[in-house]
Amino acid sequence: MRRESPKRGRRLPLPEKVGRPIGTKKGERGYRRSSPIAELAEVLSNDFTYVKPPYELIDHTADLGMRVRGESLENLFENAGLALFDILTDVTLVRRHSRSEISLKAESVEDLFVAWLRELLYLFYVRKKLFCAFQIIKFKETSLAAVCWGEQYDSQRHILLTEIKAVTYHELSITRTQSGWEAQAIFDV
Amino acid sequence: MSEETLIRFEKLDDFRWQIPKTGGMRVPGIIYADERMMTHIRTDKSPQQVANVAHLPGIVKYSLAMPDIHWGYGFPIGGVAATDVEGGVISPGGVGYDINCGCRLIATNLHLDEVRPRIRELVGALFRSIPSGVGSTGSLKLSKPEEKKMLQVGARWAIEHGYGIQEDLDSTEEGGFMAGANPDVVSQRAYERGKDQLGTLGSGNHFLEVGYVDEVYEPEIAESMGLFLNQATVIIHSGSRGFGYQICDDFLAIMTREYSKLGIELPDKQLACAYIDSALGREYLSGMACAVNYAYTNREVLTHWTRETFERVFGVGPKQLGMRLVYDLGHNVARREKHVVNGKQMELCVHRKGAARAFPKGDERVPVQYRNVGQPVLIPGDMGTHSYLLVGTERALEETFGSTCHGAGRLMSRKQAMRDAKGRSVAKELEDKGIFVMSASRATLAEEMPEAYKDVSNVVDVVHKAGISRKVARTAPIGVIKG
Repeated sequence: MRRESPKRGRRLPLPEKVGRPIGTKKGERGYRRSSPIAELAEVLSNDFTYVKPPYELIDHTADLGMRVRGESLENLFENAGLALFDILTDVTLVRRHSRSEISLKAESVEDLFVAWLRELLYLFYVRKKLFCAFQIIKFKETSLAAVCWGEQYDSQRHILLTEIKAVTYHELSITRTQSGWEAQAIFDV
Repeated sequence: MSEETLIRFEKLDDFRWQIPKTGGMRVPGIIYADERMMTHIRTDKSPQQVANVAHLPGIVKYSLAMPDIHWGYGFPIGGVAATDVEGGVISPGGVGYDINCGCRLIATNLHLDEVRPRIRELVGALFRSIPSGVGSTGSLKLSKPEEKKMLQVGARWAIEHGYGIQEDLDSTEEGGFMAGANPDVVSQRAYERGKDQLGTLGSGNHFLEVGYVDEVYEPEIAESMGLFLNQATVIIHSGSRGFGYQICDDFLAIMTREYSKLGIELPDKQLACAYIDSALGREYLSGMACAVNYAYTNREVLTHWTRETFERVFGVGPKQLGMRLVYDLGHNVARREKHVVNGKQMELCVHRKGAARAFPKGDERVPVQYRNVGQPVLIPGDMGTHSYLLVGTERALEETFGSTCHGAGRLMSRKQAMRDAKGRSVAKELEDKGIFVMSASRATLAEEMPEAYKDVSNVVDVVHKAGISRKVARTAPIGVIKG
């Protein structure tokens, strides 16, 4: 994750019609244009509201798994990110105040899926970020670019529900279904 | 999962079940369990995992599982596998994410009657002085050079900085330090994740328990360990926190990419491995050793704060309190150890994933003060029940590479436990049983409720009757802190 500094001369004032992340005020972090990816995402994020993603927990004796669905692979990845944070915290308490960008490469779509969730866990544990919205901007089976919205973890306002230590490769799968895509992953908790 | 697995079992005796070698298995599997446990184990995916582990290159004798076996990822929890250092592999999944997660038993000079009346105050004070819960952070902030030093010397770092006493090292497995730790192979991310977590309990099944010795099976051995009936005790269960998780994660990510290129075929990606005698294998082992040392230090620091809290609450000095470490041992570790296999001495890499070491008396790897009784093994139960102190045996060394069970083992998934706990107060139920519990999270209490676990006494009975360890004493809880 790297936030590029805005290029000189390209720092245009944002026109009102280009939406900013819901809940952010003008001038707040996350509002500033920072990279081509984020610019694109801002335009796309106009009609973005939090809905619980289509997923269920998998019963696993020692640990915890999730089975998540999406209309497309992009949507599957977005929903997986939401599901992860839905397990970690009460997402309805997370405001869309700041934005992080993620670019990843992997050797296969399964590896990319694990890499995506690992990256989000890293941002949570180390950068103390909670996310409530995701948008996959670029997607190939072995690489992705995404924008994630959320805010810094605040123990006064947020609830942590489950500690996920890691995403495992055990029984990991991404499959095509009649209506789209489905993925499952087991976490070490 | 309810479907019957396709694994076939041959009953060897009342406590040993063999999984015959089939397909790509290099050795047979053996599960230690009694008939009743087997009815449950058969319906679980864990026997398949025992068979999967038998595929690892260089595995010798058997892929083993202890009676607390349950479905893990890659390895089953309760799995033991030894690979030949020459030509064999190391599998980070056979150690687990929480590297050197383990527990320690601390004895005191206090009597149950002195502690019971003040248990609320004591547990409250412990809860305030020991950071716990999801992603808990501590007050210890180490500079990078200081942290690197700690990773190399283990629990000795804590002693040198005033968090513990020299004698603790003599009662910690391998002296509280694993050799070969190289901080330079550890990723930046692991440092970042572990930075502010030294001296924290964590969440999930980690706990700190105040209890007392409520039963003694081997009076002579117990006495030589300084244990007596109704003596107040403390058990601490924690590991290498985010630091260890990240090291496992980092190396698994590399190994899952690399192992098939080495011509290794595995039935589960999570078993990803590298040859022990390869750059990647050596790197993992030296990174793992850092996490092992982190965990020893973590438990030592937690012990120090526990001692301070006891001193404050009871208003007496350390001498009078006599809080003495009985033993500290890890149950998620891989170690290079010498063992006799088919009459031949071999150097092996013994993976213990949710399994404890249990060396017999006379073995030079057992600390001097226990060498005439055998290595102490602490088996904690769930928060509502007993924990057991055992010693290792000769038979363990012969059959299980000197290994035994590590705990009760889960019976219910966390989801099922949450469902069952709905509308109940687990804390209140425990209080009715005389156990005062404080937790950072109600969800953790529900997930960790007693019914979610196998009965630890059954698990311990199996290892005792199978002869791979021997019961010495039992403790009962009166106060618990959960993460």
